[in-house]
Amino acid sequence: MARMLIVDDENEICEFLQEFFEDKGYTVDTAPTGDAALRIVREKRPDILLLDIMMPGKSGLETLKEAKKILPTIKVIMVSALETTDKIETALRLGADNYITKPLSLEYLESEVKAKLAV
Amino acid sequence: MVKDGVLIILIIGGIIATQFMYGFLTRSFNIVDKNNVVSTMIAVLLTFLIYRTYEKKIVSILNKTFFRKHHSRRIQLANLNEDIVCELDMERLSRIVVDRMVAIFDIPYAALFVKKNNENHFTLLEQRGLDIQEEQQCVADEESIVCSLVRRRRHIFYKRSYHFLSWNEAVHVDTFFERYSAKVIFPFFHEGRLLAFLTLGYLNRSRWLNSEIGDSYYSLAKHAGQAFWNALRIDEAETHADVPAEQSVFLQQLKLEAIDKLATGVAHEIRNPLTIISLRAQRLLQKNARGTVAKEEVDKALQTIEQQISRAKSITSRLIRFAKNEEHIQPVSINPFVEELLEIISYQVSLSHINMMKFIDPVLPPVMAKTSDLRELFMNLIINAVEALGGGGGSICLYVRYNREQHAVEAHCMDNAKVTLTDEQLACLGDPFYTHKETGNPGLGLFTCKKIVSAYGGTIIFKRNKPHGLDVAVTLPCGENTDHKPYEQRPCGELLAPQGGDTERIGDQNTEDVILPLDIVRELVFEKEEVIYGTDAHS
Repeated sequence: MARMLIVDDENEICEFLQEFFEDKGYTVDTAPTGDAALRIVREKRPDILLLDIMMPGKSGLETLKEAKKILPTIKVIMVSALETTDKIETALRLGADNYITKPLSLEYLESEVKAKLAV
Repeated sequence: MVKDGVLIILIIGGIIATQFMYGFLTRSFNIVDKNNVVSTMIAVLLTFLIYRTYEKKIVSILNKTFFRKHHSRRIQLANLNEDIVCELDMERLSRIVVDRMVAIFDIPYAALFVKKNNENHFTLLEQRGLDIQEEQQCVADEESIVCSLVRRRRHIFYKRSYHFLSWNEAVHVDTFFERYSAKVIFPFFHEGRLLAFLTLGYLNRSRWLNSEIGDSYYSLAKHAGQAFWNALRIDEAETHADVPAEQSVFLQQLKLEAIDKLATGVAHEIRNPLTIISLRAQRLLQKNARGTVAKEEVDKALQTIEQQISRAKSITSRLIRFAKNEEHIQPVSINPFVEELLEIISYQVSLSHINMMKFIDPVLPPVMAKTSDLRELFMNLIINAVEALGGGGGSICLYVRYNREQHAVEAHCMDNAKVTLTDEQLACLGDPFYTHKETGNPGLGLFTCKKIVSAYGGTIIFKRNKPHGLDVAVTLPCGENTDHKPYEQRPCGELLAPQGGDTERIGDQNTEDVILPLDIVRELVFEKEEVIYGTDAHS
């Protein structure tokens, strides 16, 4: 089964999504910061990354850029509380596969993860 | 003129005094100096030397003693200078200029004409003592001989400054002077462009031309030109929707910049609890539909939902409390006010990789102010520091203490931006539309701070921070009936440390010092950090 990395500074969200996707059979890691996420990308080479944009320290967009350099094949779904066009455009230009805004729909998120991994 | 008069008076006085002394000495020692040549020369020399050494003090004392009215007018003109520089509203600016000029020179008639950007004539905006009909108000056509004359001169006196005109032209100018009971017209220029002019009645020409008041006035006229230029730009952007976007954008930024910073942080802060609530609820619904939901899971989900609702509620309450506009001046306690501001913007600041620290005296006396003004002041100080750091990380330190000498609250907003401002740049900070940053912002943040602080009789000083960056020091006077608790009445060691980010507490918990001295804070926050940066850079 696919390996997933969830990156969010909100611990509650990380824990919930980890539990949810583990129930679905995924192997899930979580990271609260961009730097921690990049370490996991190097070490565990996940197939898909759920990445929050607004995080203290390294932002989601910077993390996306570096993660794509480390592992160009990784699928990335950006997750953010903000719906600003410039952020969405930047994320897609940097190689993100999709951009989802909070609050999340579990059904949609799951279908997106499946769809991206199937490509 | 005054200096020359003073010198002559002093020399005469000096000669008399020295003659007296010399006479006493020659009589005492039987020295013969028949023509008093030596004594006179010594007297002149001594007097000249004394005058040159204490010139400023002597002139100032004589000015205050013998030329009080003259001196007072110069001071009033200088004060007017300061007042108009901070005024962006055209109507208020015009009213201030006319009222104050009338009062300073004790003139019965005055009229101020201003040319708006899209108009081809100067409109009468303010007048005193004149009986003017409605149809006469749009008076001075841009191409008229009066405007053409005003454009070329620093001043025009009635029947004096236009001998070179043809008879018809001179009559036209005379008529203009007579209509507005004027004796003189003064123009206001900005970068060589005539923006406005002021007509004044009954001003003594010879006294004006030969006094230092004229110089003071021309200095005022220069600043007034800048003020009219700023006010016209604001007026243009506010009243005409068809102005180019880049010209009006600064106004929107001025009004929305602070809201934008707040809204981004608050949106993020609220959407996170909403996301958690939504995820828990969706999961429960999914499991319930399959009939696999366990009681423990329902309990846990409901507990989480309850916690997250409280969290969202506290964020909104904080924001409502913070955004509440108290439009009357009242005693405002700075501590909770600044604490709430920092809580609201801290997340947004941390996203820019900035370490926000605060050192705040826990028992500051209240400041008499409008909360909306204080909010704007502190928001602009912090936004300015965040922009100076430019997203590349760094530190901002907010240091607030009680200034006993001034009975005022003294706040320092310090950053360590890697930019060293020149003396010229420092001198321009706080001027409207001045910015050295490439953020595309209009350069009105520190100007707004300056305006608010001066409205409350406070001060704002821009200094280089050590080792680099900027230190904006603001003082806000406390109310007359407010008192500051002496140290011994306070809880010991209540606030000695920065309370932001991951910083450690600094200082001894048992000490009676309430807040560390500014220099030590600066050293701890910035110079210590500099060493750490240096080590990283080499490693």
